[in-house]
Amino acid sequence: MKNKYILFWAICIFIIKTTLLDLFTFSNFHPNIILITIVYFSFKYDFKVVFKLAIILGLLQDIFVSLFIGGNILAYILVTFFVCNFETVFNKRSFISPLFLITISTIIYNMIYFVLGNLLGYNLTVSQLFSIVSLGILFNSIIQIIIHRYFFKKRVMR
Amino acid sequence: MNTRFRNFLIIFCFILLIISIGFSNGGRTSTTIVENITAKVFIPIQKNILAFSNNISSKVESFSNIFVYKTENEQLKKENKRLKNKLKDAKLSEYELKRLDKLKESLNYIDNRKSNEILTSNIIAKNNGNWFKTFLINAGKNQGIKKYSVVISENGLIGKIYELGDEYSKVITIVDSKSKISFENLTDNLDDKYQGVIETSQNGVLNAKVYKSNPNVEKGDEIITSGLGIYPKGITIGKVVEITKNDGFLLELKIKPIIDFENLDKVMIYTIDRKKSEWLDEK
Repeated sequence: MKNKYILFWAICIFIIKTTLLDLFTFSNFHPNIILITIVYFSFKYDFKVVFKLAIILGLLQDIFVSLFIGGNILAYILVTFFVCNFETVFNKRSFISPLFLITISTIIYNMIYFVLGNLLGYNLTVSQLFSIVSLGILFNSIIQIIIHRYFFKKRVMR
Repeated sequence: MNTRFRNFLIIFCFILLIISIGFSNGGRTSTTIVENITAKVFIPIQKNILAFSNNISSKVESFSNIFVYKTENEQLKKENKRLKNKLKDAKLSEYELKRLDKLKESLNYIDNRKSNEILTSNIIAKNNGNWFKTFLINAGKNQGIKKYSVVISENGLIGKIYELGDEYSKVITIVDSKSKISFENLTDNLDDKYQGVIETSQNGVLNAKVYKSNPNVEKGDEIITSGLGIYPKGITIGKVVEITKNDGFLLELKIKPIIDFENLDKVMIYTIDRKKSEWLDEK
């Protein structure tokens, strides 16, 4: 995938996350479409593409809406590293694969944020972590499975 | 990309980002040229899309709340009657206040309450992450905003300016801010008045301590800023939802903010002067 397309995708996803995602809130909880994108891209492209996408998305999020620069990039590249290493092990057509990867990605992302937040003096509790992770797994998995089934079905039909 | 290089890249990024997090934590008073140029490209797009999104959600909300409006209307009528009676009392107090003001003038009293400028701004992007509630507004350094300026809405206190760009600013809400907020309860009876400090927050609820022995605290008490610290006096913070500890000496409360941070689209910024901003930054 060319760099300009990666940039285009990153900008689109970032704009959706900071604006339109407001419409898809479930009791003040938002699914993390960046994590979903990273997992989906890891099925289609190699580490290099997913890594670039993760850095651009993390950077945009850090610059415009985060409390510190680097937190999101760090979380997304660690998620990318994990997902790209494990993705080869799974059967791409099985719905278990995206489900497992999005679950682990959600845990890694939120654990990093929890640790960083507490190290920087924000009062983040374990109960908060538990509720964010459990709701995150639920909502992200639902969206991930829908996307995965739709796109992979399309590819098989072609 | 071989595995060895991949691992090296991850470790290198990890170290670099940890340093970056350390430096950028606490918010910056100015941003780089690249960030400002990027913001100039993004702001108009985000502003329009968010306006469209807010428009849809408000329409959906008004449609889904159609059955709630009748009971709400009845409640508002009752409240209107109560407020009309209060207005009469307030008019009497106003007369007393005018008399006191005249007395102040005659004694050459110096008033500390400087009339700060209030700016209105739109929210252009929201951090829809689940850990911190921050958002971006389309007013920055060029519009006269300083770091730590207070952000409010017509309902009450939202938070403060966390980071400044030329044409944009990052706002941190009171539920995520690490700084303490001094408060008091809204009452016209001096004996019932109590003051305290909001110290932390958890799951969108503020944890506060009251510094008065045996205060008369009740659920539903309206809490406002007391004027100590960066927040001006009299801005509504929220309502007492729970009294968690009361041993006669120390009282701990839970306060639910009056602002619904999810449904904001416009904010007002109560600017502070440059010296105060710099002093707070040094602290």
